[in-house]
Amino acid sequence: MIEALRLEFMQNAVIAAVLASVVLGVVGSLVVVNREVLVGGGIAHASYGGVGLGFLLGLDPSVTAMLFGVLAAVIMGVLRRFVRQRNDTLIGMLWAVGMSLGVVFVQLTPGYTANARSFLFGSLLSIPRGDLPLLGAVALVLLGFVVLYYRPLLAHSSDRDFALSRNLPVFSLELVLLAAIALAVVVLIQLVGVVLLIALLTIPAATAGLFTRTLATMMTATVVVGVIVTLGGLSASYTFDLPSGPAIVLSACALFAVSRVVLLTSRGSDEAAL
Amino acid sequence: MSSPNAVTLTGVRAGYGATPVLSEANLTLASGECLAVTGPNGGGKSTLLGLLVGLVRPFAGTVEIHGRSPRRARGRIGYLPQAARLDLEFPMTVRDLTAMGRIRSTWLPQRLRAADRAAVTELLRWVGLAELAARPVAALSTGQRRRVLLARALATEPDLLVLDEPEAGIDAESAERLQKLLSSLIGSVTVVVASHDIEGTASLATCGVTVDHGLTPWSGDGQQDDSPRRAGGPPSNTGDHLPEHASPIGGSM
Repeated sequence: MIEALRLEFMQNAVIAAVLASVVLGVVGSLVVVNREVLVGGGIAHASYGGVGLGFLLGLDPSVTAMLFGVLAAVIMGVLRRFVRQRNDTLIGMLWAVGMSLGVVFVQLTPGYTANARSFLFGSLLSIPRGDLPLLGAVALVLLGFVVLYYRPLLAHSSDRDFALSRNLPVFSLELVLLAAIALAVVVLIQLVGVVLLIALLTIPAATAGLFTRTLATMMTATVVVGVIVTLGGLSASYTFDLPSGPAIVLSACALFAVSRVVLLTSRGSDEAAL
Repeated sequence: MSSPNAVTLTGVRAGYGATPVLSEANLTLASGECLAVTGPNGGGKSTLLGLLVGLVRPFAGTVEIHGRSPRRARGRIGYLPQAARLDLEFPMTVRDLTAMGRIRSTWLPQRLRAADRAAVTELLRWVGLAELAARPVAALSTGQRRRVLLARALATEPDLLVLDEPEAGIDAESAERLQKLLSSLIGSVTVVVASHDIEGTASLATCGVTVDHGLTPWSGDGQQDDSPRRAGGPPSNTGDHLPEHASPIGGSM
């Protein structure tokens, strides 16, 4: 594995994994504590419409996926506020419509479109060096946003009524949070793809949440968990010739299971000691 | 120029969706008073409190807090919601929750200043939770949670404190401790407290109103006050009374 780090594609993959861990640490934690997991899945699948549009128009699919994702997030935020409809119904609609548009756009694209498959299941080992600045910029923007607006986000996420009673811009915070999810989606699609992205948005944050007692420490711990599972999955992918996306998700799942067992065991021994 | 009244409701009709819960509600409350809000479940107590805090918008009529709309006055309103609304799975310490009261209404980034941290420490000491400041909120008892929420409401440095069933779900000892805390506030801040416990928190009130789809003020002897300048909405038959020592609503309502 160490030998492999001399290869450029492996260096790119490691850098992308670390940058993506920052993103999933920040946004994954917010998704989990706000109980917006379905929203994350909805935006991820909706952004596939942008992937398809990118292929059809000959544009960079990562950029069009980002634009599509942000558009889907804003539409979702506005519909949730102004349309009297069940939340999960709206998410389901955007989820399916985005995927359908993506499939149709890819089908309409002339020529070779096999690369579109990498957006479905991810392909960390094939991330080009040219995509890394975009990943870094997204990670920096999201990190800066959370550092600057941590306290309003905390109030909005934990007690919406209180945030309203303090005259905080709750609707705007909701829209920005959805846009942050959309930006994170674009980064994480590269790792695990549209289909598996919901796992990466939730499992590392849920693992970190087992051992942390504040949102800030949860975010920090999620970054660490993210680095462990993405590099672990990458290593397994390289060593055993497995697809990288599923390998990362299975690594995350294994770490969560081990953490749960460790927690249960330690609590059991604490209770036995009493 | 600020209004002499802390709270003024004039001909308010309000509810959820298209269904009115309160009709023709009129109310005035002078600064420094403590108003007990009693009444049956579903009668509109939480709707009334929501109107005061600005979480519920009236279908008709006006609500004024110190002469301003609740939305404009929000920065000076402390709100203690029902305990059930707190997400106990949220990763947050007692200090974090209390410090939430120091958040300012602004678009600009904000961090806790030294004065904010000192105020939070002082409030936690006042409610007897200073030693638990680093503990997760989920690890507190229900009574302790009510006290930390009270500390958060007071951290806003409110002119008006709105408390929604502060003693709900807590044991007698915790309720007594909470009452002592609240009684020390009376006079220094205007308080509106919704409660089922006539002998408990509501006994601190200097005036009261029963909410049952309308507002019916009560005088100190537990009798309905029919003064037209005070009352609004239909009389209630719930049997709720203010305790004997509560003063007449006179003048302020």
